[in-house]
Amino acid sequence: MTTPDTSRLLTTVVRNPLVHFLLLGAAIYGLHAWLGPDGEEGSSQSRIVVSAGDIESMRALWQKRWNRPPTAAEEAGLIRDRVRETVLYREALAMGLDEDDVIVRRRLAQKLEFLVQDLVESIEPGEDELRAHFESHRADYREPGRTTITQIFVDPDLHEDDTFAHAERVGRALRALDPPTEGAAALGDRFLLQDYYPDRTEQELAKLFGSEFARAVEGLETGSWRGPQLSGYGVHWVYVHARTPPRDLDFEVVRSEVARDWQDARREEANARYYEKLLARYEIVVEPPADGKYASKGPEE
Amino acid sequence: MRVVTSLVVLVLTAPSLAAANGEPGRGGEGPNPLKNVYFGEEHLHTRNSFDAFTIGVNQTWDEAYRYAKGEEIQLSTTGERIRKRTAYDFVAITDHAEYFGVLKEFGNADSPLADSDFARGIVAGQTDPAAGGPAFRKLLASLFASEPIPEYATPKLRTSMWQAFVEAADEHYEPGKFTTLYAYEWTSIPRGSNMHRNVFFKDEAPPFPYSAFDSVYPADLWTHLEGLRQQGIEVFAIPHNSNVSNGWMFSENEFEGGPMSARYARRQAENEPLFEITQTKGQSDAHPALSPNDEFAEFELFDNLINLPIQADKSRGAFFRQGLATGFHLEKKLGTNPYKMGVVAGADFHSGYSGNEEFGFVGGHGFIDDTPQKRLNPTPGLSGGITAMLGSAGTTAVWAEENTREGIWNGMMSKETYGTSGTLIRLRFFGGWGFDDDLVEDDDFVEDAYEDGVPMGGDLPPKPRFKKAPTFAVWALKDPESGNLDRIQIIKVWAHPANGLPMEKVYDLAWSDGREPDPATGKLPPVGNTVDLETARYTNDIGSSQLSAVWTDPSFDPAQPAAYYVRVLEIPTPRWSTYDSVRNDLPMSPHVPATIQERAWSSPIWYTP
Repeated sequence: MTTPDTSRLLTTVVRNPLVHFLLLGAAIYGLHAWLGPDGEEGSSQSRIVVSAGDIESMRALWQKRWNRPPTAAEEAGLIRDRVRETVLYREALAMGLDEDDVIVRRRLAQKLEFLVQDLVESIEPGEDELRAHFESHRADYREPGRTTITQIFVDPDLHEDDTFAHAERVGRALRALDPPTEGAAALGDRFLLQDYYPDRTEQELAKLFGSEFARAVEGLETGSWRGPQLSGYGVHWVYVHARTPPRDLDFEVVRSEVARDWQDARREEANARYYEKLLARYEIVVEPPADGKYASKGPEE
Repeated sequence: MRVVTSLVVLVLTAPSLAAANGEPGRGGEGPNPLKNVYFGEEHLHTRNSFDAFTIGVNQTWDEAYRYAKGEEIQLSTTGERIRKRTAYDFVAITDHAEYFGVLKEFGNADSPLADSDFARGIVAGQTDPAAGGPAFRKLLASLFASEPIPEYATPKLRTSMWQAFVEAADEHYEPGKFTTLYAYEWTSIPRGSNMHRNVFFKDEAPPFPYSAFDSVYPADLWTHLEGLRQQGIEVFAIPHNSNVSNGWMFSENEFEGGPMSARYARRQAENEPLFEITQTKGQSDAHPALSPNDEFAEFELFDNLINLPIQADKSRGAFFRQGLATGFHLEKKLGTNPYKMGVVAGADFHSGYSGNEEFGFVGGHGFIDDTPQKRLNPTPGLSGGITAMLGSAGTTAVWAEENTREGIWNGMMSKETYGTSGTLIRLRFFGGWGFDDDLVEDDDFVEDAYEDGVPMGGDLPPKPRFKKAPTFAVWALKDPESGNLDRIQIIKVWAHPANGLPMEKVYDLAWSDGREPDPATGKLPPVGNTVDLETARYTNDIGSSQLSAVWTDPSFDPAQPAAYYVRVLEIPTPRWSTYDSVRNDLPMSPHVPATIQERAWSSPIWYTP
C-alpha cells in the first residue's frame, strides 16, 4: 500500500516549497521562522541588521493600519522595537530558554507535524480503497438518530430555594397524567421555548437546550416522565415519546466525506511514518522517577 | 404495539403546539408563520481572501461550512483541532471580491498561477513574513491604488473562482437544516476610510463579484446592485466597521462629495437595509465618549479609536446609535431616512472559522494570533495595536419562517434580525399601541404580538388618536451554554428638534435578582461578578434564565420621530483572553478587561409622526 504512493509522495515533496524547510530540519526551520531575515544576515551573533526592505515593510504595515506613513519618531520606535525583540530573542536562544519552555517546544513540534501533513494532500484514492474505508468505518457514516420529546420547565428564578422541591411536586403531577402528556404544559413554568419537539437529533436538541441536556436525553427511556433534568436554563421534566435509531447510509451518499476521511487517515499515517523515521535516529532513555515507580505500567521501551 | 402507542401520543400532544410561547410551530415541518430564530455567520474569510492567504491561512470553504455545522476541523496554521459546541444554522462566507480565490492558487504547485516571482514571494511570506516583502508591497500598492495586477484579475479568473464558490455553497446547502448564502465583501478603503460592504444574494448568484477595482464609491456599488435587481437577481449590501470609517459610514454628506441628496438617501436605504454592529475589530454600536450616561458602552472597543483621540466632527458618523439619529435629521430635510438599518453581527475572522464561542476562541488572523502567546503579547505589534484587543466573533440571529435561502434572506431584508457578541440569546421584541401589560404572560404572546404590533425591524403603525404612547413587549432567553441574563434595556434614539444632534436615553426594562434602582440616580446596581480569575470559572448563581417585560415609553413626544432598540446584557463571564491566560499559565493582558458582559442588540422599531 505504501509503494504506489511513495513515488507520488516524492513528486509532491520535490514540488512543494514547504518541504524544503523540512529537509533543513526542525531546528533550522524554527530558527528561520522565529528569527526572520535578521538571523541570516547577521551571521555574527553580535550583529543585527534592520534592512531597507524591513523598514519599507514596516512602513507599508503602518500605512495599512493607520492610513498614513509613520512619522520619523514613530518609525524610530518601530526600529527600536524590532531591535529590542531581536536582541532579547537571541539572548533567550543563547540561554537555551526555548528548550525549557513547554510552549515553544510544543509549538515547534506542532509546526513540523503540520508541514508533513501537506505531503499527502494531492494523493487521489482509488474506488476500492474508498469502499474499503467506508466498510470498515460504517459507524462514522450514519444518519443520526432522532428523538421526540415533551419537556416541562421549572424556572429556578421563580422558585429559588424551593426549586427542587417544586420540581418533585411537578414530577408527581406529571406522572399522574393520563394520557401522559395531556395537560402537561399547564404544570410547567412559562418558557420561551415550546414543550413539544418531534424528531430531533442530539445536535438539534443541543441548539435548543444546550449540549449537556441533549446528551442526557439520549439516555432517557421512552414512555415515562424522567427528571429532574438540568439544563443551562434550569430544571426540566422530559417525556420521550419515541426514538428513531441511527440509520446506515449508502456509500454513494457519503462518498465525498469518505474521501476526505480517507485522506485524513493517510495524513495521520504519513505523520506516524515520518515520526518513526525520526525516532529511529535517537536513543531514548527514560529514567525511573526517584521513588522507582512508574505511574502506569512503565515505559514501553 | 409501541409504535401504535407513540402515534396515539403524537396526536394527543399536538394541541400543545398552539400553547407554545416562543417558537410556536417549530415542532412541525415546513414554514412557521410565527417564525423561528436561526443563528449564523454573516462575515467570514477563508484562504480565498487575498489577505487571509498572506497570513498563512489555508482554510477552505468546505472547512468553514463544516465547522459551522458542528464538525471538527483543523486550524490551518497550527493544526489545532477545533469544534463548535453549538452548531450554526446558516453561514455567509464573505471573501474579498478583489483577487477572489486567486492568491490561494499560489500554494498549489500544479496551478500555472503559482509560477511567478510574485506568487513565490507571497507563499514565502506565509511562513516568513519578511521574505514576502516585495510581493506583499506589490499587493498592498495595488489595493491602495485600487488597480489590479492585470494577470491576477482577468475576467476568466474572476468568473471561474466565483463559480467554484457558488458550487461549494450549493454543496453544503441543506434546505430546512443548514443554509449557505452567496455573498462576498466589496473592499473599498478610499482615503483610508473603511467603507467595506458585504453583498448578499437571495437564491440566484451573479456572474461575478463586484470589487473595489471596479469602483471604490458606494454609489457605484449601488448602481451595480440595482442593475442585478433589474435582471431578477435579489441582492442587498451590509456595511461594517463604521468605528474605523473616520465618520463616513453615517455621514450627512455623499461619499463622492457634497451634502446628501434625496436620491442618494433613497438609494442608501434601498440597498443597505442592515448594519453589522459588532465583529472581531470591535463593536460599532456606541462609544463611551459619545454616550457618557451609558455605563455599558465601554465594550470591545477597537484600538484605533482608543489610540487616536476622537475628533468631535469625526465621531458623529462612526457609531450606529449616532447614525440612527443622523438618519432622522436627514429624513427631515430629504424625505427619506438613509440610515434606517436593522442589526446583524459577524466574525470578520480571516482564519476560516466562526469563532463566536468565547471559550473556544483560537485567534482569527492566521499566524498573527494563532497561539496564546501571540494573542496575549503585551507589546504592540508593528502597527501599534495590541492583539488581545481583537474580539471573538459576533453572531447574527434571524427570525424566519424556515431555514432556507429564501427564509433567511427575507428575514434579513425585513430587518427581523438582531446581532450578538457571539452568545446565542433568544430575543423576541414587538412594538404596538395597545399591548396588554401581561402580554408576555399570555400563551398566545407571539401570535397576538404579530397581530396587534410589529416585530423588530418594523415601523410602528400610525398612532391611534386615543393612544398616548407606544408599548413594547420583550422576552429574552439566555444561551444555555453561556451566562445568565443581567437585564433587558431599551435604547431610545432621536434627533434634537432644534439642531439635529443625536439624542439617546437608556431604559432598564427587566432585571434579575430583585435589585432596586438607586433612588438618587435611578441607576440599577450592577448584577455582580462570579468569575474566579484563577480558574476562569463563573457560576449562574446570579442573573436570570429568562427576562420579559411590557414597557410604555414614559416620555413619548408624538411630534418626534424615534427609534427604539433592545439591548440584553448577560452577567459577567470570562473574556477569551482570560481563558487563554488561565489555560496556558500566562499573565493576564493589562490592555483588556478580564470579564465581559456578552450582549444582544435588536434591530430598532421606528416611530414616525
